[in-house]
Amino acid sequence: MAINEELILRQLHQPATASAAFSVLVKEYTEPLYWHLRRIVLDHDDANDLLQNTFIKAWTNIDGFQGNSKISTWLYRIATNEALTFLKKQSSNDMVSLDDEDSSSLQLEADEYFDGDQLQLRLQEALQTLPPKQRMVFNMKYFEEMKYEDMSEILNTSVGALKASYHLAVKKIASFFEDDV
Amino acid sequence: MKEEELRRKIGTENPFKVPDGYFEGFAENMMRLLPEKAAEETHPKIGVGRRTWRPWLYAAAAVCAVAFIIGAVHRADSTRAADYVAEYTEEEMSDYMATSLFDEYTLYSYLTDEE
Repeated sequence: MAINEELILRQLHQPATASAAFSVLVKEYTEPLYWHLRRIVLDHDDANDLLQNTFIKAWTNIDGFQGNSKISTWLYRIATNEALTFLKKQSSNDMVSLDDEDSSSLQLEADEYFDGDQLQLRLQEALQTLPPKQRMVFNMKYFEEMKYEDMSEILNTSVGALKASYHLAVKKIASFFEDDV
Repeated sequence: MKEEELRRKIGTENPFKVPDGYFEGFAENMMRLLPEKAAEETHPKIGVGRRTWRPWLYAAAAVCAVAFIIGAVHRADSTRAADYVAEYTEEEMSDYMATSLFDEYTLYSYLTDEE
């Protein structure tokens, strides 16, 4: 059942009802936000940390949210920023390239929470060849089937640019698989 | 290969898993992790009047602090420096001179308050 955003927002801004209203949000958006994050960072523990950070940031900044966008869009935007910041830090700390598909493929093979077949493993390898933001665009469209308009608000990018980015991502992934043949 | 072909060939199945019961327990754990907002909630909101005089209160406190510091410095200056060192023996002073950055003239000026 979809939540009544207007009502939730009013409750979030009332100290007496804020906690209960936020609990509704957490229950509603835990799964979609988790999968959004997990597809970006791949590792369960990292996705879990980022999801917690997302909700903590949302909670501490709830007073500043005036409902100019949908609550879900706002939460996705926080989660996306958390993930991109994480990837940036990971890249500079480990000195491992974000495009290093072999390394992430090895990590996934050893990951007890990944049970994809060889084809899915290859898809993840192909995705690692994309820049993080383009990978995100691909995931949001291909797996999450999100509308370009919603993606546009979350990623702060025009619909046209998103369409072009997605088209290019599909092309790159397709050519990755064609090279296999 | 177009998107449809990609979907046909690879599908959209989610290959990732989560630990058992992860989603079931997440919300409860998450709510426990949230920082308290109780302080903001239980205290009455600061009225407009209090908000307007609060900066003046801070300014008055700052002026008092500055006045206190100036008074303390003045009192310290007015006590002859020689009084502080009178209790030291010549030997101790000599040791101090050997390790300090003062030259003899500076120390003499300091002890006699001569410029």
